[in-house]
Amino acid sequence: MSTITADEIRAIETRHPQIFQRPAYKRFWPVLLIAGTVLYLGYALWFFSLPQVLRESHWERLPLFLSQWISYDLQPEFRLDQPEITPKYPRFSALGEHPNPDWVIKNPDGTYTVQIDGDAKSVTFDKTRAAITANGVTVPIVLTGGKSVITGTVPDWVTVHDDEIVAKLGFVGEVRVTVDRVKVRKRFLGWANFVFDTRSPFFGKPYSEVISLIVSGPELKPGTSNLALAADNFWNNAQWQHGDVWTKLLQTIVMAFLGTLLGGIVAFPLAFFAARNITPSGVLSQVLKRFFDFMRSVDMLIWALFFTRAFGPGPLAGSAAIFFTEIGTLGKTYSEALENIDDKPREGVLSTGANEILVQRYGVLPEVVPVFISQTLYQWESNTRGATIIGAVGAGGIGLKLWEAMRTNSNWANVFYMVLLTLLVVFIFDNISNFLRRRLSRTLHDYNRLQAERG
Amino acid sequence: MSASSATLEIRGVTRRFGKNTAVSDINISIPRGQMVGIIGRSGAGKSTLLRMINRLVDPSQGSIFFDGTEVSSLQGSPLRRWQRDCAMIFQQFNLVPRLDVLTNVLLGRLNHRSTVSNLLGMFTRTECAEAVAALERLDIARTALQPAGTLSGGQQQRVAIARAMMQQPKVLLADEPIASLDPLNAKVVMDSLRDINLREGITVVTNLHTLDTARAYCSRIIGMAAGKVVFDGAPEDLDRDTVRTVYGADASGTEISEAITSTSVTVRPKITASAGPLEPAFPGY
Amino acid sequence: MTSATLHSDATRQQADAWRRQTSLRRFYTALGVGLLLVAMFATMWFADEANAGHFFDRLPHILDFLSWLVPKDWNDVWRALFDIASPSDKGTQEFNFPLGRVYIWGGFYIPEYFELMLTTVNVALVSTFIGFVFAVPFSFIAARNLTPSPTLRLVIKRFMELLRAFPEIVIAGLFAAIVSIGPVAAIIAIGLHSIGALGKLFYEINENIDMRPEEGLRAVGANWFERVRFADLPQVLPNFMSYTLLRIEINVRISTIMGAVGGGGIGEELKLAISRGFGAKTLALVLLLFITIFVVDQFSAWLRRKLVGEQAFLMSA
Ligand SMILES: Nc1ncnc2c1ncn2[C@@H]1O[C@H](COP(=O)(O)OP(=O)(O)OP(=O)(O)O)[C@@H](O)[C@H]1O
Ligand SMILES: [Mg+2]
Repeated sequence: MSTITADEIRAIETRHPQIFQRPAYKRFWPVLLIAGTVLYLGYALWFFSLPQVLRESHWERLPLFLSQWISYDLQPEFRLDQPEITPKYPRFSALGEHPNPDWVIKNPDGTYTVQIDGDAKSVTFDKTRAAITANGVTVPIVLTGGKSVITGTVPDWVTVHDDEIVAKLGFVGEVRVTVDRVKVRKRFLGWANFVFDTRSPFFGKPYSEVISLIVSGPELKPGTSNLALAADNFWNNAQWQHGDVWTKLLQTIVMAFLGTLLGGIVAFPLAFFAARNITPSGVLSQVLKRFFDFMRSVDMLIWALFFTRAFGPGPLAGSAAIFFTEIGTLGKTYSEALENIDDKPREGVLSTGANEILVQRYGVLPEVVPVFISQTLYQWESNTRGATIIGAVGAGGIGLKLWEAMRTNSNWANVFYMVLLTLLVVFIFDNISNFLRRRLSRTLHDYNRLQAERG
Repeated sequence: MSASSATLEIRGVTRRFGKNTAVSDINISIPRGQMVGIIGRSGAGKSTLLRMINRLVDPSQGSIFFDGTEVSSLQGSPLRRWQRDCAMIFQQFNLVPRLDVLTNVLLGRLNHRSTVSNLLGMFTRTECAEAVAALERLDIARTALQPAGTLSGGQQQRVAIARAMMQQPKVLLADEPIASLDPLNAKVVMDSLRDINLREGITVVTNLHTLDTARAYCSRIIGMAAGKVVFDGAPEDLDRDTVRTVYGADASGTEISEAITSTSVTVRPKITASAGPLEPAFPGY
Repeated sequence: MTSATLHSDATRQQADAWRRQTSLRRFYTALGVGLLLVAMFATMWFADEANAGHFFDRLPHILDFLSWLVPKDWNDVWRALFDIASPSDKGTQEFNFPLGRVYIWGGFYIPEYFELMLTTVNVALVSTFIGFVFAVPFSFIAARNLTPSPTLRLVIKRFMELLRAFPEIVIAGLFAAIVSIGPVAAIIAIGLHSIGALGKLFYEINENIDMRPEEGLRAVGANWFERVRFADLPQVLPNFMSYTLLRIEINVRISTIMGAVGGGGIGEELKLAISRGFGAKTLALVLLLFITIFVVDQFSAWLRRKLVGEQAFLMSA
């Protein structure tokens, strides 16, 4: 196609004014839409004072918190102002009551060496001097002048404060040196004492020994078998609280199940009275529909708060909240499904002279029950996820436990443990529900095909 | 560009789908400006051949050359530039039903412009005018603002041709362009293809199911059977026996009746290839 | 069926088979319902046992509990809603309505609860926007028929599944420690969740589109972005918008709950009012929340019906 001249363009434009002179709103609505969105976002930026929030935020904490999800640290402290240097561990450290880790070494010459990452990252000290080794350099520190002083150059991973020298050694930990003490933080990958806590007689024993004890060992606690003792120790692990966590998780599952099921049971008959094409009275239909809207709009949170106050915190309140919301949601979806059914089977049954109830039973139910079940399963699935959140306001289940574990900002490994369990549960229930719904739609498909074959 | 250089060369091209060989060892050379019809039974591999030329499907073996470049090995943006030069029209039109006709036609220009200005949908005044001119030539300018999905099949195919024209192609491939159209619309579409071929000198390669259409419009006919070329010559040389080899006699030995594969309608006079590109081909309004 | 036809053996056999099949199906149905009932009562018992207060112990006191909801003076509900001074105000938090006023300009103020409701709605809108903006490109990468790279597709798909299933309160809690407790943490949490939830719905829509326009544009020489923009987006956009509106409805609810656990907005105030037994404040908040959710739902339902017709109400996972 040869190029087009300006005259020809003008000729075409005059021939087709409707194409080239479209109303401005038609031509520019995408621009307007984008402009509107941008304006709104600007407003939101101001409304949430985002620049300020971001300026005051502590992003450096994020990697720290995330690393705490899958690791734990030990913090031995060495007092230098006592007659003899001895390591002290925090009271509930993961090492138990008699810690003697092999990475704290008392050298023959009286100095101590703490290996943070083997010998490559370590600190060696006595009462007069300390030497921090990392990244291929050794930083000598003199402690005699009433102050900790570095002799020589200060590498960038060491910060010198007034009375303290801090060496950050990356993920593996850090060393803090003052005149009268050396503090070490050493980080380990993994979860400490996940199976047995420090009070358990099985603590610190290798798995093979634990198993042989359980299978054929002498009773560690007279009167109980070792298996029962191990199970009890595991279940009541003070740090991980397996028993409590799993019970709470079960509560969350129960809340979603019970709430959805009861909601379905109540919504089922009501939907027939609310469906425009089935209801005996138009007024009743309207009233019921507004009732469904009401139950939905009052919102699960409000119900949860009310029932927590009425019954006290726990899964009963959560179930009741989901139950009330689901009456609304399921009632609405059921009645919409009923309004969308094909009228022919109903008329067919009606023409046999059956009474109203029988008409519903044989003309309507076979069509809508699979749809009802499928929608209920979908709600069940989404409530399993929702039950986690409302739990946090006191309605029982894992939510509250998660929230409390997070509040202290120190228990991220426990949080991650619960998150993993929750993910597992959501995953399993998603799949069960998907499987059932697929089965159901196949049944529905077969049913329709049979109907079609019969003509 | 010399006439002999813009030749489409297909050399030993084979395409297999699993164990099934759809196209096997095809050698064709199509000089610039020819209007070629490909005939053959369903499953003969006609569509596969065209789609390989446009590179919607890659050949399993062999290569395709155009103007001296091996287009069968292009990748990335040179490939897309070849696809621009080699417009394709489909039996099912393959328009974007929700977009209006004008935008659909303008989409033919995508590869001429920068991606960013494309994504923002900013087409220039000249491009719009050209699109309208193309629509005028195909007599559907009045539908320009309708969603393409609301048009009749014949109209949609003409929109597809207009889009192909906007690509400013060197080769136009048409895969059964009239198979889902009524005879009248089929004629309009075939006439436009011939018009393009004569006026712009664009090579047209079209798959056809109707023998007499092929005879009426094409200067060269290629017959395919079971993935192989079994006939390649002028329409006059296509006699009864060759038709039988192309289509194969069915089990009962019944003759292929040309009347069955016929679309002949005699209504409007044929358009003559003379008017400039900007004048409406069908000055009806 | 008349008795005459039963004389034929074949007919009788058929009838027997039918009856057997029916009774088998009845048996399975009964078994299913029975199991469901057992599970229901078992879980009811479990929920009751685990709860702080038990159902039958607390039932008689429900009315007591409801009675504090009824304010002594019904006008206090309006006063609480619009921050107008109440005659019952004795300096306690129960009736300190005017304290919450958010002055905009001179004597003109926004009542506290409206401001809080606005926060909650804004959290929902912004997080839905975040979800939409990321879910759309992700959905084109994650759709089997459109993906530019199968490996990338798998990565994005898994990532979205993770975002969808990850408990929102954990994300909120994590970011509360980083950007401080409040609405921004809630936006991040709900936004991330929305990416996963919308992304999944979107790519399922994408996998069901008509591929012919896509092929047509491929033949034009359009690149991936241009094909997505012109061949795919026009087909799916109405459905995308419909699901996004549905997501706004859901996110308003989630953002209320997030508020109650520290995400700012109306949820926090509601939790406080209920736990302290402030009848008038509770009623005012419930009323406001109820009306807002109702209006958002109805508006979104209306818009969705305009976009995609009755199809908008077919639920999909
Ligand atoms: N994408 C594909 N995957 C597998 N097999 C294919 C594919 N495309 C084509 N085929 C096979 O290749 C052979 C040739 O198909 P093709 O579409 O080229 O035939 P055709 O001549 O265009 O037939 P028709 O006239 O019916 O359109 C057929 O056997 C077909 O089944
Ligand atoms: Mg074909």
